[in-house]
Amino acid sequence: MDFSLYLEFGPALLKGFTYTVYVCSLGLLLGLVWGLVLYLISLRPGALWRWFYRGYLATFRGTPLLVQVYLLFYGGPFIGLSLSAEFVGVLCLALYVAAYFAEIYRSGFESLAKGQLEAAQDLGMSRITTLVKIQLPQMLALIIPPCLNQTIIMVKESAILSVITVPEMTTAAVRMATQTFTVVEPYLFLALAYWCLNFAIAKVANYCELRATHYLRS
Amino acid sequence: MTQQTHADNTPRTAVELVKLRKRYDDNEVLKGIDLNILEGQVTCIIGGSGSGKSTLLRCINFLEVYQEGEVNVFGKTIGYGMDEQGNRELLPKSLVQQELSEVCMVFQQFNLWPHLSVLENVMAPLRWVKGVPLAQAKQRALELLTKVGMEHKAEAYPLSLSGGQQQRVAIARSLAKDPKIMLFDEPTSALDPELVGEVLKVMQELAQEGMTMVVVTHEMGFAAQVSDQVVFLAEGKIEEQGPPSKLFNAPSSPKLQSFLETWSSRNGAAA
Ligand SMILES: Nc1ncnc2c1ncn2[C@@H]1O[C@H](COP(=O)(O)OP(=O)(O)O)[C@@H](O)[C@H]1O
Ligand SMILES: [Mg+2]
Repeated sequence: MDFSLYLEFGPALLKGFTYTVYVCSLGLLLGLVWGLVLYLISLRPGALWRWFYRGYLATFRGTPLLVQVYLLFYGGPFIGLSLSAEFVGVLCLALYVAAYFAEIYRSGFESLAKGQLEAAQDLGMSRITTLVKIQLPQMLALIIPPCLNQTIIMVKESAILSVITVPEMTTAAVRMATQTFTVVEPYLFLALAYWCLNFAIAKVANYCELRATHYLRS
Repeated sequence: MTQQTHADNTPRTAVELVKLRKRYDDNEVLKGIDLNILEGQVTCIIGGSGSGKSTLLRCINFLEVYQEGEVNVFGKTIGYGMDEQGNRELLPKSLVQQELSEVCMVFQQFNLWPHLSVLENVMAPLRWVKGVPLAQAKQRALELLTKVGMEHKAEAYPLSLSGGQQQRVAIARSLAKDPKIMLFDEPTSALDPELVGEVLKVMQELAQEGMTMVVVTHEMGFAAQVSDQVVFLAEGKIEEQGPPSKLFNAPSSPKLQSFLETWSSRNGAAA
């Protein structure tokens, strides 16, 4: 172990770390929203919508993220989509994780008693108010644990973005490895960094879950 | 149909059902219901389980879509309008909701929102439907909670309350809509026997204040005492209707007779 290597590559690794946080946060945010849209699409009557939803899930849950990333980045230009590696990275994470979020939302919404929604309708509440004030707050409590799991998986999967040279921390570590002909030092850093990140996510999510389920304990 | 004159003291028609028919797929649940409910009156609907009582109630506030006939609330047909060719067409939900702004329902399972406090539950229709400012909404909600005797639990969450308390809060929440017509679907059936009285008392007070009420109930004592009109439903049809004294003391339909006999033998004393 040569710890002095960290002095030289420290700034680059840290920059990669920040970029991983940035890409994952964006991917998570977009994924949460797009997942909700997908869920709403799944509710629409009509075969076309159902077909789209099922096809989407099959595509993004049935193929490796690595393949999705390669296809969009290298295949995109053939259909006139020349996107930057960073953009493809965020987009792929979001599209991929949204497929899982949509299904998590579905189970969350379905477990909410139907009577609560009838009461909202009966009292004249609009669909959107019902969603924001009645459904989402309760759903939150139910979906935080599975969403947390999925987010942790996504953060680990984000290492794959190094294959298209998104400047995140795996890319930085791989560069360090090739330049210094070392393996242990860069990958030890990666292991620690991913672990810290996921530890922090779990802490935040636990806190949110406690807040969201407050009403069940009072 | 009775003409709605305002000249004399004849109450106007609040709800009118005309040849109402409702099917679930092939299963016809309401088989042509004609019923008139006058403003300020209490109508109790009784009948065996599966006879269509809930469905009837839920057609009035359009929680269920009916297929034939009419539900008229203060003279306006609910749920359907006419297209340019004069054909009947289903109206969008938001429009139906507007037309039902004077009707609300109290459910057997209360259906309070568990993540909101008692006060927030009652404030919800004021804040999020009517757009009443916060301070005003809070004051009004507290008034309504006082009316049902639940102001001391304003900060509590529904799941920490007894069934009777939850139902009283649910009634306060319905009142926040400022309805002219209230529908009750077995409001005391999910309660422990000792909690039934507190809910019935609130309902009785509402009746005395002149609220138009349609109550599906198995509480024959309440029906006999409070209602102006009792309707006995059997297999999706009105088998018999009239004043409670007539229905309970001198039922003419054999089905109603056997229904009341079963009820008395189960409950010990007659209503
Ligand atoms: N959502 C539904 N889908 C299909 N059938 C239903 C539905 N709701 C009620 N029914 C049927 O309609 C009939 C009347 O039900 P309901 O109005 O709930 O009766 P009641 O309230 O008098 O017990 C029953 O046979 C029931 O099985
Ligand atoms: Mg019923």
